[in-house]
Amino acid sequence: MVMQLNVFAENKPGKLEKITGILADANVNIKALKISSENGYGVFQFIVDNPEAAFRAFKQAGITVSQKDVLAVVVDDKPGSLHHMLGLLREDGIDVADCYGFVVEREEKAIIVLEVSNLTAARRILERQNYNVIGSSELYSL
Amino acid sequence: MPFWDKEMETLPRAELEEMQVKRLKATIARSQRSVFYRTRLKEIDESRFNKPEDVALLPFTTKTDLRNNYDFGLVTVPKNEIIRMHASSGTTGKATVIFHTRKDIETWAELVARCIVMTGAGKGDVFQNIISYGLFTGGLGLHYGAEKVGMLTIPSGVGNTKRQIQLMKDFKTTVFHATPSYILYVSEVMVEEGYDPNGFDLRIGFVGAEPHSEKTRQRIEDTFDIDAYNSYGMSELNGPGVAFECEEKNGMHLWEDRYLLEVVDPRTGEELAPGEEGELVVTTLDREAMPIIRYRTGDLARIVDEGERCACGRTHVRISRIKGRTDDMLIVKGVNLYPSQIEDVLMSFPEVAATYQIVLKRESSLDTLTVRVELNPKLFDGDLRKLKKLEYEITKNIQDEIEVRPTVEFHEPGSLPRSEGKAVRVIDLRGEL
Repeated sequence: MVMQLNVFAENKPGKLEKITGILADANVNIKALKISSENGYGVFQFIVDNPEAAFRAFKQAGITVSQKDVLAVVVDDKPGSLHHMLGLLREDGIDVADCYGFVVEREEKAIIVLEVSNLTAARRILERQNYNVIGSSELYSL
Repeated sequence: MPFWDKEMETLPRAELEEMQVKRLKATIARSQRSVFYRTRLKEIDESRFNKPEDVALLPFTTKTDLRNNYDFGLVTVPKNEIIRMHASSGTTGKATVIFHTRKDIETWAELVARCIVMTGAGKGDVFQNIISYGLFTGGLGLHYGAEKVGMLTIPSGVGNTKRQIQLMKDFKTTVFHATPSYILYVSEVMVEEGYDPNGFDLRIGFVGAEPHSEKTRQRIEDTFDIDAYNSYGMSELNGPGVAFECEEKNGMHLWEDRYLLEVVDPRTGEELAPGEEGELVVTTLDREAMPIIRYRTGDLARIVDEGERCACGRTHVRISRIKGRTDDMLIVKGVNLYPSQIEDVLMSFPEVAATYQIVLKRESSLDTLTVRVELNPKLFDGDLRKLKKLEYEITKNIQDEIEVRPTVEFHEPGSLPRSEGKAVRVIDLRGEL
């Protein structure tokens, strides 16, 4: 399991830049970022190499931030691989609330970040099918 | 049940009313020494005043009257008998100035002393008066009462929030006086500075100078783990000490030996039936330098205890929380509403912080109402769907309350403007039609 940081932000010019500036100053490397927004506000989801340091830096800067455990799963970077994995989860009744991914080695492997209804069960299902569900240290050293 | 002046505070109603009539007559006679009332009350026959309600035979005094008679137009004593001047915190037009003789200041301090002791505070307490000193009456008003009672009084005034917290910590403040918006801001700064707001020695808070809701009181009480008591007053009627809550926290006792209260329809000026909500109209009794007769306070409230004695034993009438001011009333899409109604809804959601703004605009001749709220960072869990649901629920609850559908905007904690004095909650950008 890895730690995702969720940041609340108003939709305003320069907002994302301000947030990324805090991470840059704290010498934190961003592995993945997803932005979801509503009318006037949004949530930035970050996967970073040092979530504790990032969380502290956000708090110190007065940013509204929370931590969330998510699954990070290694998949092959090829057509159909995400589809196959999601099928396994559906068969076992696991709901996917959120999902995004990033490539770590072109045409070799990608990492899928999953927020699911039952984290432990999802992990067990995927590991049984020989998926590599990675923890913080593995992800952060990528 | 502690009392400061038990005999007066528990005086039987018949005696209290008898005293009111006597003092009303004396007030009418005295007021005619002033330039203003000499003309206004010409040909008033004092023998017609036999019961407190007869005060309705007299004309109202309005804020405009006070402004038009700036500076000494309502004063009844030689200038060298005046020892204090205050001015209203009104933000528009000419200031309203109020004068006091030595006896007036003494009487005012007595009333504030009653209020303080009524909440269970008193000698031995460390009292931090976190409110403006100066022309505004909140600071000096409580200050004199607190010293009279014998509290260790820290005149910290308002602002410099970190120093306020330092004082609270170093001198183990047990009682404070503040506006609701500022004291909640203090709690935010405490958290930022790494303090737990309920980890101080505080036990009682006097909260006033801004209309606020019951939910806001609860929030203040929960935040600091204290009992918070509502305070009512205005400079025209001395300042704080006009009415205050007792430990029952069910309405504020208004000191009827010094103030004669009426509740009228703000449009017609007609007296309302007991318990109906309307504008408070107050006559000062036995004030020397500047008696005011039937003052239109602009504050909306109701009497909560008609004919019913408070469990604390005091016989003086109780008024409800101030719902708003006659001039606070907003008309949005033809619907009358008060900011306090919106505040009530907001404060019932722990997910939102205490600071909010109501913004009114007119878009192609249609009114729009936007409510800007800050998220409570402690309850943010990063789930956008929960935020959407929260937005929907707040919108719906406000609409149920005021019958106008608002747009609810979420803002980052600490991003809406803070004020150190009276909070500016409403921004009306509609201009003229």
